Amino acid sequence: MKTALFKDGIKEIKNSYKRFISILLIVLLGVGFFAGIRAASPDMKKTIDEYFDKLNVFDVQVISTLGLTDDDIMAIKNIQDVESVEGTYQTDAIVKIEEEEATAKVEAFSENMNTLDLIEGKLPENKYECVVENKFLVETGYKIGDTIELEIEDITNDDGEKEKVLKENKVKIVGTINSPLYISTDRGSTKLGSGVIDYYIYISKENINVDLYTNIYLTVSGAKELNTTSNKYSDEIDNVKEELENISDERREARYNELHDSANSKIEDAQKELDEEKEKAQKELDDAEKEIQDGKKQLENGRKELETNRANANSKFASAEKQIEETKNILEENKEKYEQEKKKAEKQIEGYESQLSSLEQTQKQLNKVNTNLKIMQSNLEILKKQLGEAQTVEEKEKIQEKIDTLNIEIQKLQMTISIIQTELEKEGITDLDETISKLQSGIETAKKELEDGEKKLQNAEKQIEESEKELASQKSSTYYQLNQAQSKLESSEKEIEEGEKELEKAKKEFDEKIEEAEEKLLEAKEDLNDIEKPEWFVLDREQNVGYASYVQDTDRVASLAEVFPIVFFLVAALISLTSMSRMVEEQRVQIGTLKALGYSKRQIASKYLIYASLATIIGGMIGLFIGFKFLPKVIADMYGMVYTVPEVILEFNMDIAFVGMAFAVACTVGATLYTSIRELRHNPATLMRPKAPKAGKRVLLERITFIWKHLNFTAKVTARNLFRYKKRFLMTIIGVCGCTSLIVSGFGLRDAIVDMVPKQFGEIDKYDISINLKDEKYGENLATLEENLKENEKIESTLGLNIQSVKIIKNDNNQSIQLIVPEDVNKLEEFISLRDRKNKEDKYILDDTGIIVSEKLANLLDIKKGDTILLENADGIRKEVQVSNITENYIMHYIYMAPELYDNIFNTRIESNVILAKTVDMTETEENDLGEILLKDSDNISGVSFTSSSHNMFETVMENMKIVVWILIIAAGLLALVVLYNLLNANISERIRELATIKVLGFYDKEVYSYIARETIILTIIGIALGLFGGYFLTMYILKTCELDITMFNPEVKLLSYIWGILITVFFAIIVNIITYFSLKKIDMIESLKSVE
Amino acid sequence: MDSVTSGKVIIDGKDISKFKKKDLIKYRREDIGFVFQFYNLVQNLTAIENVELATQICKKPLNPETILEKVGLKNRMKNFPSQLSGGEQQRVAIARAIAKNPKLLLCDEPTGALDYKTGKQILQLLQDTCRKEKMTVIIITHNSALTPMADRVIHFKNGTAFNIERNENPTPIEEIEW
Repeated sequence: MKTALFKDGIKEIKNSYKRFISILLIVLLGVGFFAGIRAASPDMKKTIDEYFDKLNVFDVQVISTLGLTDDDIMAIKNIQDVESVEGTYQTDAIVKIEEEEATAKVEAFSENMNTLDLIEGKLPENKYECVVENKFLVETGYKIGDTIELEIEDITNDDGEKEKVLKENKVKIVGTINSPLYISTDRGSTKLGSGVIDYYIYISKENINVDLYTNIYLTVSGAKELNTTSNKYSDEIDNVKEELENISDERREARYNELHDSANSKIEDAQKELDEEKEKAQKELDDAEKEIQDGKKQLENGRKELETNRANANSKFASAEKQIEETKNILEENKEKYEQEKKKAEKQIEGYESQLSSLEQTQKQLNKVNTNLKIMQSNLEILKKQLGEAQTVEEKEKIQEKIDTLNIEIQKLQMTISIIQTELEKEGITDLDETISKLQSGIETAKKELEDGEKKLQNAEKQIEESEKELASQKSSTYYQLNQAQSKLESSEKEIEEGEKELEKAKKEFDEKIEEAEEKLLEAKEDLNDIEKPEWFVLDREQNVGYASYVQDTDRVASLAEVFPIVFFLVAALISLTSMSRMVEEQRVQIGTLKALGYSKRQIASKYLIYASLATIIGGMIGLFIGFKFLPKVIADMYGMVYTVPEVILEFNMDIAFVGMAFAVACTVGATLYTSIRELRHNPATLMRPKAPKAGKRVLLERITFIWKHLNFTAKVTARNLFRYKKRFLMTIIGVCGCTSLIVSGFGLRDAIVDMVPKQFGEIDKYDISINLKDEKYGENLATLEENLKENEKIESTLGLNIQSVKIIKNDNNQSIQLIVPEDVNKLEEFISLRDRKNKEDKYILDDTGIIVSEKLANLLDIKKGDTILLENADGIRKEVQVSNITENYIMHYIYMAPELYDNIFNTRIESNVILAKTVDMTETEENDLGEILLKDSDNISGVSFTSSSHNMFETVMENMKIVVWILIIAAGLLALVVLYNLLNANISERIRELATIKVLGFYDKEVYSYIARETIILTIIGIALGLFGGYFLTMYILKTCELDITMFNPEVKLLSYIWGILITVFFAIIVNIITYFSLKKIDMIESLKSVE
Repeated sequence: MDSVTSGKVIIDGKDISKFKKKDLIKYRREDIGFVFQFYNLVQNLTAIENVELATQICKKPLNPETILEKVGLKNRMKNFPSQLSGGEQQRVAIARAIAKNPKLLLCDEPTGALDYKTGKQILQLLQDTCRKEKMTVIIITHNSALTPMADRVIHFKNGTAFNIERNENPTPIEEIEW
């Protein structure tokens, strides 16, 4: 008997396989989505937990502003529950890649903590090696085996000396790794380069040259066993964190003292040195001064001496000249005398000479006569001879004649001679020659005498000349010497003057130097006072950007999982409920028969229950299987694009499976149970009779006769029908409404997310760069800096403002809020737009009546326009201010305040610590370049961040959300299809007689179709209309659930999203209607002849 | 409604069995009135609306109200089928069929679901219609007691007509008993 019933059950499934499958499918979809999306978050969390466990990721880390020591490590080790402790050194470096520079976080790797996930190659074994992330190799073109150079700024050690951070700056890449500390693309920020860390690089501990640690990592015993995202875990960690906070005071104090002492002794040394230097310098100065004084004295002496010498010389030369003059005079006299004597002597000589010359003439005459005589005598001789020889008388006569003439001649001559001689004798001259020579020598002596006199004179002259010469030379040499002495004096005077000048200068310099040194010392002393106690930051994994954003993302998925699958599930449950109750109702005759045959209620009900359970369990199981396998993987893979985490661990999550199945079973089996029990209550006779058809009812519309009359007949039928099958009416509307809502909210969600980023970083934050200043500035200083910035041609305009973290004292909130006080209220609009979200034209201007609060903050803290809030500024001063407006804002919380108001309230002149700048359009490289240029002014600028980089960061996150949204849209569409098909199917099979009848009446296929489709169309339209509202509210709800505290999605569903919602639903409705048309065509008119079952 | 397995259906000189689907629908629409055993009224429509359901689709329909008056349902016009008795429902069904002003009225066991008295009333109504409206009425029944009232009787067995007889003097319905 039971087997017969069982067979019947099986047959039932076979016969109504469409219904079975549609229940199965709808359960599959519902359960699958529910389980799949729900499981995504736990699966992802599990993945990260196991990954972190595997790599021994720290539970807590301590960072100090002044570094950490081995003592700190020891102290931490002693804390209970601390399992292991590891200190490490982290620093930022610049890596040169050809022309460009990249920034990298360089950290020493440990084998015990935060171990690295080796991808390729090996880990560094010595100080010459390093490992990098794969991204580095891909983006830079380096390969394993290449050597890179790390540029790291030297640090100041405890003794105030510069020290290299690494022993070896050139390191060879030996492998690629993934670090669990950087699972997101965000690597943090740096003061180097463009301000953003591009890569991380791990080196060997050996390579660290510094004694201090920057970070101390520790693990907590027992924490590994717990899921890192669980509350239990955070409780466990919090205990240790508390302990750490407890010891931190002591440790900070110790570190402070250490630094303080060393600085102190340094200052003392410096003071001492300064004093010594001072003394030494002073002494030197004194010496120099003395020397100059001495020099001056000497100079004075020299001058005096010179003066006397000159006087002496002058008198000496004067007397000498006088003497010479006298001598000259004497000489002159002598000369005159000589001249007179000379004249006398010359006269004498003249007398002598004339005497001499006449004598000489006489002598000549004489001589001539003598010669002539001699010649004649010789001629006479010759003639005598000739006579002797003469042969002829004639000849003899002739010769005789001649001899005679000659003799006469001779006689004459002899007579002449005797005359002359007598004459001479008369004159007393006996010997002519003697007289001549006497005369001659007389002349000569006279001459000689003259000559002698002249010579004497000449000598005297010469003497005078010489003495004059001598005097002159003496004079010139003396004066030369004197002059030289003078010039010497002069030059030494100059020297002394210069020396004095120099001394003056040296004195000045010395003063300056001392002043400087003293200032420095003072500064150092001030610095010493400024040495703040080091700040300890006790951080856990939550503060790791990668981890935190990963967990936040999984939470976001979880909150999506809260809503979407439930809508799915509800629709699915409704569908299966209608299907099953219809089935039971349809089979009331059979139920009656079985009952009449004597089957028990339970046995009869069990058939339907089994039917429902089978469909549900099979569908649910497949759904769970697909859901658990597929959805978490899809979602995790999407996030995998942003995070470097291992493949997601897919789990069969029993809790979720149980809840999902329980829901599904409750819906289908519960519905079946309910209807079958309701039917089974009747006795077999009632059951076997056809169920009284549902009574026709007048609809409200009929009461409005004038409309009703004007409706054509089919419209009337449709109107009646709509209200007749209330259940189906509701089902269709809810189903369609649900689908439209899902689609609309899918698109709406996309709108909200897609819009958020461009709105925040384009319409609201209009600046391109935010430049952090090293010191707060205002007034002229600020203006100068701004001017300097504007000199860069890429920067168009700037605005100084003060940004500080403030708190609003209300409830228990600990929202981190940035207070922005612009230097110039009127310029703010150019950089940050304050406006109403709904009416963008309604711009707000800051004034001293109140502050402007960002919208999300206002929502979170329930602040309204006009409220007064208690504001605590960065210095911890609390004051009340009025909220004058609420402004549109999507990311982070801001409060804007006019500087005047700030001054009034907090009583301090507000100074700017940030300059916002607008630039010309730039490429990423240009931005990096600009960032580098700006950062070069390290005296003024401590950091530069580009809006575009935050823009990009949020963009990627949003990109992921978009895919989730698409999945939802597609799934919603599928759901719409199933729902509509199911409902139409039900509609047709329930009214098959009616349809067959009107076919018999001669309705064309189209008319038959419109007879029934009209209802569906109207219901679909109503469903869509409601779905649009539903979509809006669902979107708002989801946005609220998914939203992080610091972000506000744009709570606005765009018209286009509604249109898409409508179009997609209509598209599916059309598909279903086409199916309907053909299944209506297939209806056999014979059905109308059959008796009512 | 159904197609022939063999033979021909010739009405008014037309071979209906050779009609295409659309022609068939048109034929049903304009020339045929149909009365079902189980009335097949649309539950969601009032009596008059059920009639209108038919009149709306044909070319020269009769006035639904007059027809309903004729079938004696003047006062039940606005009632839903569930508010009517079986006979009344069948009358609505007949009214629906007649209102189309068809050439041929086919009645499938029109009295099958009715009690004796109501059955007679219905038959009377059909006969009256036939006579007054000059409409061909074919009544299909298992009840051979009805045969004397017909002008012509066709006997079927196992799907084939085996006897056709003519009644020269049909018995008035009041006299028929079953």
